[in-house]
Amino acid sequence: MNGTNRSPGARVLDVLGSFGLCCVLLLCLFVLTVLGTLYQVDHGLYAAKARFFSSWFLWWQPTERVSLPVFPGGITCMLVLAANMLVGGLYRVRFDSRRAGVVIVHLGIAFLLIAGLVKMLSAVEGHLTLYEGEQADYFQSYHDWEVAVWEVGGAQPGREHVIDDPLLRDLEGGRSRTFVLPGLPFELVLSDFVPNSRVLPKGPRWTAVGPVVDGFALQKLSLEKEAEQNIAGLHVAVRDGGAVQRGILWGLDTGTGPDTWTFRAGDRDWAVRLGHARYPMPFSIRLDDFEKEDHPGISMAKAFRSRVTKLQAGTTYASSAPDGRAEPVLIQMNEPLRDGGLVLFQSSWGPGNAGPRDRLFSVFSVVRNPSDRWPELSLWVITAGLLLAFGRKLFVTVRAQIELRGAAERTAA
Amino acid sequence: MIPRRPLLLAALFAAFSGLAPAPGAVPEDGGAPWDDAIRDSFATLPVQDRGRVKPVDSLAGLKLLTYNGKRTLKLAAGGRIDRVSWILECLFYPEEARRWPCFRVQSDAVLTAIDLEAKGKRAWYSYAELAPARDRLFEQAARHAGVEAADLRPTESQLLKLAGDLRDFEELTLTCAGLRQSFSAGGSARVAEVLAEGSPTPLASLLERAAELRMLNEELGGEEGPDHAALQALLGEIDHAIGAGQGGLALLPPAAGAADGERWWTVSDLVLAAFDGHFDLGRHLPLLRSLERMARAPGDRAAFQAELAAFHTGVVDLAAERGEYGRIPLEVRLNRFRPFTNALVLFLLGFVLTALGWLLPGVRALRWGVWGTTGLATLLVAAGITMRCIIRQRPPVVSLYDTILFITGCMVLVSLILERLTRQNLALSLATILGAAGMFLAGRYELKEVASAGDTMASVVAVLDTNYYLAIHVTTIAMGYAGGLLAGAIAHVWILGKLLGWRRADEAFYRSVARMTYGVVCFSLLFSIFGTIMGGIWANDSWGRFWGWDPKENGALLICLWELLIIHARLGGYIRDRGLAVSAVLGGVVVSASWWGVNLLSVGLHSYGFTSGVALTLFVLWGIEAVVVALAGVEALLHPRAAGETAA
Repeated sequence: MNGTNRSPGARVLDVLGSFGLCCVLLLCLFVLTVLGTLYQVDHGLYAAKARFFSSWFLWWQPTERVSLPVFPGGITCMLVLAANMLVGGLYRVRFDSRRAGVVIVHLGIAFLLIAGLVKMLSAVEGHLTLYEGEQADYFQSYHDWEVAVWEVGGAQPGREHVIDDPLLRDLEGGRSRTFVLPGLPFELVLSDFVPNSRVLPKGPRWTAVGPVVDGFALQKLSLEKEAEQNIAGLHVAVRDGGAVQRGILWGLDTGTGPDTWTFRAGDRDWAVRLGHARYPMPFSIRLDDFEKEDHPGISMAKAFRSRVTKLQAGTTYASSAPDGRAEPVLIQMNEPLRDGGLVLFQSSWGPGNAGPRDRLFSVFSVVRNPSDRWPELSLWVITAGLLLAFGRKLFVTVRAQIELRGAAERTAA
Repeated sequence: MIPRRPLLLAALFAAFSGLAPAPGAVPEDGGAPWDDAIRDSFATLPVQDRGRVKPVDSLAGLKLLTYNGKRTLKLAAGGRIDRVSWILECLFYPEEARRWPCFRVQSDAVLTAIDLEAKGKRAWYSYAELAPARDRLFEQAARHAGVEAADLRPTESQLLKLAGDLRDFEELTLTCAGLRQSFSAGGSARVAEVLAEGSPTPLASLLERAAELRMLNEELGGEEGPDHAALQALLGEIDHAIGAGQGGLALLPPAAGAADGERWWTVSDLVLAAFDGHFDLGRHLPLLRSLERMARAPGDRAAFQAELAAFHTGVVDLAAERGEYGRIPLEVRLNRFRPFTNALVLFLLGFVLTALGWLLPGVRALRWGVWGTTGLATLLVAAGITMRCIIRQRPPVVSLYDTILFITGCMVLVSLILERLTRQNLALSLATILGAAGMFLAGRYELKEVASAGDTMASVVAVLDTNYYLAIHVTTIAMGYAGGLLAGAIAHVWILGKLLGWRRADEAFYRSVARMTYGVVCFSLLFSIFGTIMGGIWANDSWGRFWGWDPKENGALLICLWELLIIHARLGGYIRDRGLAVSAVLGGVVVSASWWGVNLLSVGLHSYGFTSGVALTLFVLWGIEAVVVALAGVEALLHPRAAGETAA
């Protein structure tokens, strides 16, 4: 068919599946990867990911109010590349035995990108930090924040109302929002979210974010290179009828959880806190023993491992009488615990300056990722495809080479 | 007629052996000579150092390499001393060893900083020469100790290294210090009664009385008097002896199944354990006695040899029971075999023969000579890597030093296979150059790795303690690197050959070069993609995420992206042979950035791979490659339509 007679749809598909677009996208991803890698040196991984890899565009900000997209971001490149692969590698290609390897490779890479997309859209990551003897049935985010409100002092522990991270981050730059939570006899007004902050007695030499409360105010700090070291802060106001009570929430966790601000509304006592987002687990984990083993004679860790007991929801720990619902598990480097859609990895330990008899804590990275095992599957698909494609090519080349040499030798003879 | 090949081989080996003269065991300005039997026995003695049990032969070589940049020591009066004789002197004639110039100081500014007069740039100094400035050196080193390596100036880094080396040497020479000491009862009859052998008493005999001395100490308690004073003086002397040798060599393996685990003991540890009272000296006391006799009378070489034999047998038995001796003799053989140095010589010889082959194209023997030397060198590299695998019980690539060996081996092997297929004499020539360059770099980097980690077979961090992923991910990534670098090297031939008009009329040759380049890029892509995804799977099991945009991960991704770009640009017709050559050269740059460059950033989770001090080499390489790419531009201007360019 003549190119000029092709329908607009077919032309779009031609462009979408072209080698040219593929090359441009690969080059863009290459440039993004170089820039994002160098950016980490001064700004840390979290900022680099947000700016280069988990973004639709790379933005240039010539002035404070103007932002211009100057380069496609990681998400854009990968999505268009996936489309390019599907159209070019699967739709446009003529299926025959010679191209089977190529098709398989493209399928594998597409599956890998889908795995990445599923993770980006639905995975939850965090950590579980336990001292020996402690138990928990939730894990905490490294980066995301939440505001939780609950009643205190009642006969029954009250339901916890939670306001999630995206709603809080919307409040950056002096914005505020009123939350009317079901069953609560008051309105909660949150404002002036600051991703990294500290609370200080207000002095004349610095500008506070939001109002001064009882002589204290929120000071904005620049973001840390290690994003988990940021400590968010925000202002809270409680409207109970005509009365307004004001406070400052700060997310510093001193080891016993972030401080709570308590107030009275509707003749009942309430507490509110800002902390890292917590996610429930379908089981509890109790840290029985943490062990760090060094290489003999030097302080390099040879192994660190946590002996934990996994308890099904609602089970209390009874080490003397395991009833089948309490299962001992060893979690160590390269050997995580996978259960209930969660994966718990041995991540770190502390305190770093602990003496031989000090109580240690163990840090587990926890991930809920529906596509956890998909990359492994895609690896074997891609490898099979590459072997098929390149193996065939190698075979043809070698055969041609041998024939060429034979011909040359016959000519020489 | 005299067969030509044996003659050639004989010439090769004559030249080869002439390049590696054996250093002497007789120091001209040191102590008495050490017999071969003593040196051989001492070389195979196991010792625990930096978390690994290794032969004294390795330990001595590594220490000398750290201090003075070579595994042998050049003496001030001329001549060289081998590593085992040197460590024997350090242990048994420490005063002599302190007079030997075993510390290489790279910059005279270091000596100026500690108020010492410098002999010149890169000069060698003895401990005795540096000792007057010892305190100043340690004081200044303490000031820089907490500073990040990247923030240190070169003089400060060298000052820190010199301080570390000096302290390490002090600890080494004090290993047997306590054993040379004698302990007296100080005029106390009660103490003398316990020291049944009489006064002064050597340390090993004292240990036999450790329980009685402890009881006497309890008995005398707070009682004032000459007995108490004499006992306290004696215990003080023992404390001093223990303190002096605490950082010495861990020569004594605990008995198998000992409660205190994997750590071997120094002489001081053994004394502490004996006085602690919770340790049965039964098997260790004879060892200590032998070592003591060796330390107290090293001049009586016959007696020394007999005691060494007894000590060797005892230590080897204990180590063997713990399963820690089996691979010691193999490591000594590896040290003596020196496969990588010998391979370097053979690769260079191969290159010389290649060059001769260019001058005398009709002489087939030269071609066979290149095949022979390169093949033998490749076998040596493979044998060396295999021996290192067996010794460590690890896959071939664990450290950065390993990557150089493995990648060089892979490049050479693939080149030889290519040569077998194409018979253009090109891949074979490249094999000699790449092999020699790789072995030379390995030798240079070995110094750096030993200076920073103390070993090229160092213990691994917890996350790397998995042979499955090390074997699959790291080796495949390294093979991807090898492919990328080899493709870049072949592409150089296309660019420079075209520019210089080499085989100008032979378009088939250039088509073949382009096909080779493309094929090797495909080879590299296969292993890079497999290795990168496998790395993600490993990261998923270790760090909880498949992909974290960590610099090392990004480096691997860059190789994959670049090679995919080459292949798709070639398939799409956007690049032809010249474009392919230029992109393959740039691919080599990408590989070098991924292999070394990202390690210089010192950020991310792959902290065990961080390195420093290679930036200049890397920038020089990138500068050269930029010139090659520019030359390709010049070539394109000179020959705008390269005839016979092929598409994929």
